[in-house]
Amino acid sequence: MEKKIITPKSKISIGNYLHLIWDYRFFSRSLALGEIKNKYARNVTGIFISIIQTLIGLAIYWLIFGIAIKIDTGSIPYPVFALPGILVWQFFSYLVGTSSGALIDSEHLINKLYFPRITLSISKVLPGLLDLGMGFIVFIIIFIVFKQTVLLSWLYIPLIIVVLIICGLSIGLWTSILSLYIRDLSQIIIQVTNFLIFVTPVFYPGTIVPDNFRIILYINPVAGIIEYFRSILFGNDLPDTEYLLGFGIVLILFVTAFYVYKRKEKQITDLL
Amino acid sequence: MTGNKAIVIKNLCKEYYKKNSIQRNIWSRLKGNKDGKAFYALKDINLEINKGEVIGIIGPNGAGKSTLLKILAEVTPPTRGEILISGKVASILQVGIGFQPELSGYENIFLSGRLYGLKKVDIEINLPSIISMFGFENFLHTPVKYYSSGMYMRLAFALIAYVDADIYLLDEVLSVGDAIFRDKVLNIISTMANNGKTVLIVTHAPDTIYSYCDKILILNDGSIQKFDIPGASMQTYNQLLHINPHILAVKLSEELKIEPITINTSATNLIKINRFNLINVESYGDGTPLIVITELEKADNTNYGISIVIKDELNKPIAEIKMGTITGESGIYKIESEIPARILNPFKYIIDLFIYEGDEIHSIYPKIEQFVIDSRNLQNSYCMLNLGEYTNKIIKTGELD
Repeated sequence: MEKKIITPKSKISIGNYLHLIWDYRFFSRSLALGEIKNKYARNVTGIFISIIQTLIGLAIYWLIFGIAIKIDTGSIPYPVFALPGILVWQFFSYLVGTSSGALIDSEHLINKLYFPRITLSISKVLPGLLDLGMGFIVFIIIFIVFKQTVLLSWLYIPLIIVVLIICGLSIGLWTSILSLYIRDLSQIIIQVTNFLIFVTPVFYPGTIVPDNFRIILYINPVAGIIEYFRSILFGNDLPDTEYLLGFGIVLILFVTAFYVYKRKEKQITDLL
Repeated sequence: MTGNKAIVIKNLCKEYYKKNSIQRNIWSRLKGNKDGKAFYALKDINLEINKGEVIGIIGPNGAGKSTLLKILAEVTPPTRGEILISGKVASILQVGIGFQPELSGYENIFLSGRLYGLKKVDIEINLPSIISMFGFENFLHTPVKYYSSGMYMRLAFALIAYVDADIYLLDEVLSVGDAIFRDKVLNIISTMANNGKTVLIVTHAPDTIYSYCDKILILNDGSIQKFDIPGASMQTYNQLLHINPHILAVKLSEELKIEPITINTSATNLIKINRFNLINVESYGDGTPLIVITELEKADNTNYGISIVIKDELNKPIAEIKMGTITGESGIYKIESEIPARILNPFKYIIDLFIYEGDEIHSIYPKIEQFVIDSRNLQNSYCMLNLGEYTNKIIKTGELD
């Protein structure tokens, strides 16, 4: 017979917590599926709307930064150069934007149902990945159109994706829990991400940033991800090792966010 | 020691802070909401529930019923105290919660089933029965957001019937849906009870679950008012409703505007009720009959039959009492009739007055009066409609050898 003790502060070990999240993967999956269907199922263009959006964005940036401003991207044609950055940024801003409001938007569920609250944010990863995957197909097409060659270093791409997921989740988890205390945080975050895109090497290579300003890129984890992503895709030299600083920050944020969730898990209902 | 206990609650408290939100700065928000005024949703609850018991939880709004269930369902933590639960818990705090509107009925069966703690294989085994109980097989692959609310409920309940747990927590499941639906729910509850499951059910309609419960828990203002067999608990509950000044005041001071509804429009409109009074309402509990005094005037020579229908709070007729037929010529009449003692349970009642012309209804005075029977002095606690002694004839039919 199952036995259970409910106390004011249920102490759950980190291992059990991970196990619990794993047990509720069906729930995360259903939430993700629901979100994907909500986003695409009723569109005439379906999933292709995300491809169309990506292409339009790319065309605009190409026009401004590639043709008008003529940013130097070395031997790589501008659209091929810019698209990976755009895709990474899209995924990041989607994950941060949606998961920061995840708790508040699901108040009705939280109030009536027991489940690890962290799954609400985790469930946003899959829809984001779907967009990223579609975008990557576009990238391959453009890559072939511009007659580039595929490299063996592409095998590292999954690693980049994992770091990217951790990066998006760490910010998303923190903002979701903080937005319980500061209600307008999720709006603020959307504005901040809109601004941050300019201090991230999405439209330009990190190397054109003067050395004394480069610290801004180093502490920006997305900058590191994009730089490493490009070097893997195009076989460039590895970016500055200082970019690892951003990854360190992300890892700390991720682990602490996870702990905060583990501790606050039960109180979330009352904080809403 | 706790071998046959399903749930043991010790010194349970739940404290909330009233939020006086806007002025507070960010820092004090992060530190916690401790500067607000605290109030207790639950105060020092001590409770032991045996395995296999069906417990009804009742009480006025804001008594802490749902909070108690939420704590047991681990949706919210207690502020103090400890709860020991032995057995697998299935909590159904809202019917159909956890359904994803975008997903199909089929997908939601699996999602919701797993949320209630069913294993995937168990759902697969029971799938045909769940689908046939749902009854709309054609819509199984339609997203549930296109379902009517009735279909939605049926799907939810088809599932609940197959949830396999030791302890069920049900919150207000009876307040949704129509009478047929309620019957279904009660069937499920009685099946659970017969299978030796422990069931905790929060309800506002204690009448409906009364007969299924082993015990009834009455909460008021966050404390246990009574935890006893249904008869004893119901008596306390009725007292509680009356003592509570808000409820009493609202129900009794309600001004009734009596406008008759004329049914038979071709009939002459020559009869009018002037006064309608109930006497002895307060002492009915002591065993005195209720006196009903009706004053009316009629301006023709037609014969009018007068009768009253006693209804319960939910407008359900309980009894009709024919007060007599006014024959004779025009004039002012007064009818004095009585409702025998000890046939009404302590509850709230509504009276409709009917005027007949021959066999046809001439007009109706809806809600001409309402009254509350106080239970404080009623000896036989929560009795059923007790008609026995007024109508039985006892005849000796033979001799013993």
